[in-house]
Amino acid sequence: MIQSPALQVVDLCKNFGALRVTQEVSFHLPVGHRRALIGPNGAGKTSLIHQITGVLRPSSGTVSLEGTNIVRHSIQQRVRQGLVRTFQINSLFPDLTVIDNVRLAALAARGLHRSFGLTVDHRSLIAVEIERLLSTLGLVELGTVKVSHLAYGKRRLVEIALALALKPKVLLLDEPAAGLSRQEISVLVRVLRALPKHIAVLIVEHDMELVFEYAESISVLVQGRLLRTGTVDEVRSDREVRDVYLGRRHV
Amino acid sequence: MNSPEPSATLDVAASAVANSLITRTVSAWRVEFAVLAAVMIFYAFGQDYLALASTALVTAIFVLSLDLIVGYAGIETLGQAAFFGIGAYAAGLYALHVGTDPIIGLAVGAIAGALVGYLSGEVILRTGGLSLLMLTLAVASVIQEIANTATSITGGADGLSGYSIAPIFGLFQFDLAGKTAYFYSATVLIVGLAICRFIVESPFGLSLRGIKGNVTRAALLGIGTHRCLVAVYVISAALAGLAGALSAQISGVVGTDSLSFVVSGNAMVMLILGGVGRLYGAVIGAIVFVVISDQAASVDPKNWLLFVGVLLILAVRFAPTGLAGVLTALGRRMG
Amino acid sequence: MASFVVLTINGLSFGLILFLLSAGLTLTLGLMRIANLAHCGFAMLGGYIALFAVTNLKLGLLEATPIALVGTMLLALLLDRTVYRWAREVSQLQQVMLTIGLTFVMVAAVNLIFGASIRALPIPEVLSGNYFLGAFAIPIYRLFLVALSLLVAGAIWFVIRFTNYGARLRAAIDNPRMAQCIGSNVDAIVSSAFVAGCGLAALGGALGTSMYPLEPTYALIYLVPVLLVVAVGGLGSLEGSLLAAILVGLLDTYSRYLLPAMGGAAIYAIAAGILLMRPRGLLGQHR
Ligand SMILES: Nc1ncnc2c1ncn2[C@@H]1O[C@H](COP(=O)(O)OP(=O)(O)OP(=O)(O)O)[C@@H](O)[C@H]1O
Ligand SMILES: [Mg+2]
Repeated sequence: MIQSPALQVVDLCKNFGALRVTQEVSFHLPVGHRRALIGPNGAGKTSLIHQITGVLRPSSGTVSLEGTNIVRHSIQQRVRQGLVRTFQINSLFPDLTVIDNVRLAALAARGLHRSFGLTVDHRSLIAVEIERLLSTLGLVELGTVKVSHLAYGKRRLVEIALALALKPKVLLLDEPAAGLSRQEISVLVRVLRALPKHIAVLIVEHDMELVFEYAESISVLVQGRLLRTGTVDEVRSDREVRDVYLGRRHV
Repeated sequence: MNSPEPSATLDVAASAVANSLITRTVSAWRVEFAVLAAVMIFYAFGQDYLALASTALVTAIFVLSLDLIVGYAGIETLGQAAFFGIGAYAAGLYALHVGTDPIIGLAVGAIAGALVGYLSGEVILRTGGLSLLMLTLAVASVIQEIANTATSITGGADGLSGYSIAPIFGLFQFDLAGKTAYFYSATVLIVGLAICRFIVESPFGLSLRGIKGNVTRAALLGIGTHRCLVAVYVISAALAGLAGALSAQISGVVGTDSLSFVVSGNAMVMLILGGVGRLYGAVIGAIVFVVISDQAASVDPKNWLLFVGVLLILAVRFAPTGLAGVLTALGRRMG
Repeated sequence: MASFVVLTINGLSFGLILFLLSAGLTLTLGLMRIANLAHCGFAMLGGYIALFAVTNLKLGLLEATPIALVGTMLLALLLDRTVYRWAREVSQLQQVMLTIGLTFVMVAAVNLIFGASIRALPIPEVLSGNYFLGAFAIPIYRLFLVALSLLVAGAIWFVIRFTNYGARLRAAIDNPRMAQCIGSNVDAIVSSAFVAGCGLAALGGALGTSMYPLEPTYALIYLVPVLLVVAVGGLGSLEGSLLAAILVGLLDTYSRYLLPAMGGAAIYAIAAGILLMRPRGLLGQHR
């Protein structure tokens, strides 16, 4: 039996009035695959992620997670099924500490967020998990700081911590490196490399160095259409891709 | 670590454990202990003012219920009196027609509050912001209007009275000096405070704070935000109903003004005055407000509202974090 | 049939005065996003200033009303520079507290100066008497109120649709920051709309005392229906407020007549129903 892909998108379309942000986009992401999605500003990358995660409702088309069509599922259901994302624009809980931000995600991932108390087992499990996430992301010293007091780059790392705490099967990262320092980017790459093998990743990123270094394959989105999907080398050497996108940055 | 003689180590360890257990208990329950101490001290010196003190304690429970939703879940409301009044009527009617046991009466008030909280919360919590503020007001107005109209049940403008309440646990008779009422309300307040603290410190409480800070993101963590909000709204309504029931039992009357906008507004004022989102702020705000308005009303009944109004404006201008915030800041400055 | 006409005129006059009371609030909510619970206080002040002019200066209601209007607007201007300036810098919760505080001060001041009794202003000679529709009498003053309020509503509509000021006002309600960018002096627009809104409330307060009698708690009592009108109409939408106010006035009058057992509850239930279906109100911006 062939394993169903972790994520499969078929003929996805979305219009904002006359603007066709997503046009018949189809692709699939095998289990554990690491794919980058690139494209010029306004190509519709964020909109695509919004549709996959249920923030936006597509005009037509299907999204399947491990072979199940999830187009009608709520945002919450998708998260519980392992479809997790980060945001291009920071979206955290500003009045909570870093630890509480991550704790909330860890609790939600286990369905414990509505309980009035935790068993000793759960409590230590979650403490260990938070500890582990914070130390891989280099956030341990900032654990008790309110997120609203953090520098921008650190918030982006907390964003990643939240996503990881949700135990993703498919992880969608929307420009995780934007606004990070070189040093923070290297932490990010290390963390992404160290992700469990079974997690499939779709990373939207403008930082080509990061993309070439990290991704196994690349999809190029231009004006809502998938222009090309291929290995890093194929895409790098593609004339058309160079013209519409890479050319402008990597001459 | 170096280890001295075994027996000595054991002793030291044992006393250290005992010490840390005590200090930990005290520090974990410090708010409850502080209230308990204040209740005892006041009883020793303020015998003549027990009735006023009971009112303050009941009001504190009511404002506590408000802090649960306003301070922790970000549900802003001008209709909390609905639940207080419903609880008061339920307890009054229960005492009048069914039974006189006070504890069951409290439960009846809490359940009535919770029920109305669920029915209204399930619908109005789908909105937010100013719309929600207006809807809470609309719900409370509907209920008050119904109470005014259904005179055969509620006694209309005259209200309910003439019911009696049996001794608590069959032991403590309500007395004229108001000692029983005082300790009764104090006990309910301390228990209520402990329950609220338990809730806000639990994972559920963390979810609420998350929802308050960023609903969209909370939903994206897989948290059913509407269900959480309804749940806390029901809990808060139950607590408000309990406060109403308590007030009906110790004052012996229930009137339609217990449902009024002024009651909701004042509770909000007390909460903000005391400090939002700290629980003890609600207690401080309620007590300060009740005492000040009582003093002002007896010294100069015509001007007390003027005084309260000016106080509110100045408080927002100069102490936006409330009295609790001011105290915390002072405490920090002093060490 | 004739009784229906009488009911309708009554309902309309109730509703249109309610519109005057709430028009300013919807503007300030749309513009400043301030939960201004003191708005009805300005209507009350207008009413009491008129009362003062009538009793102490021996003026008729029609001469006293302009005085009430100007007096209230001056006070509003003063408060705009102080309390409402502070309100713009704090959270919604603190705005609630600030404006409740202001309401308390107004209530107490009125109580102190005019006493706690319920007062209505005398209807001027020329407008007293009834118009007879068969056996039913319609007070001429009611007809006058309906006509005047409609006139005022029409004037507001004209200003907002067809003048330069109105265009900038609409831009500011749609998007305050954007309006700032294109060079409108949003601050002046906001302040002027606030003061004008308080003036409208004062007009309603002074002329409507036969339906909304003066008493010190006026500011609190009528706040509930006013907030309801604003919410049902949609924050920032004057047309919405007009529609909602007329609806509330008519439905309340009809329901009290047809279902006296329900009392005033019917209108709240209907309003709650509307808000549930359209949380942003009948004509609120759906974004
Ligand atoms: N809610 C919306 N209504 C109308 N148009 C929208 C909406 N959201 C996005 N758009 C438009 O859709 C297009 C695609 O936007 P999107 O954010 O998906 O691009 P992107 O590829 O993520 O760009 P970037 O690299 O800048 O993040 C843009 O032109 C944007 O203006
Ligand atoms: Mg984007």
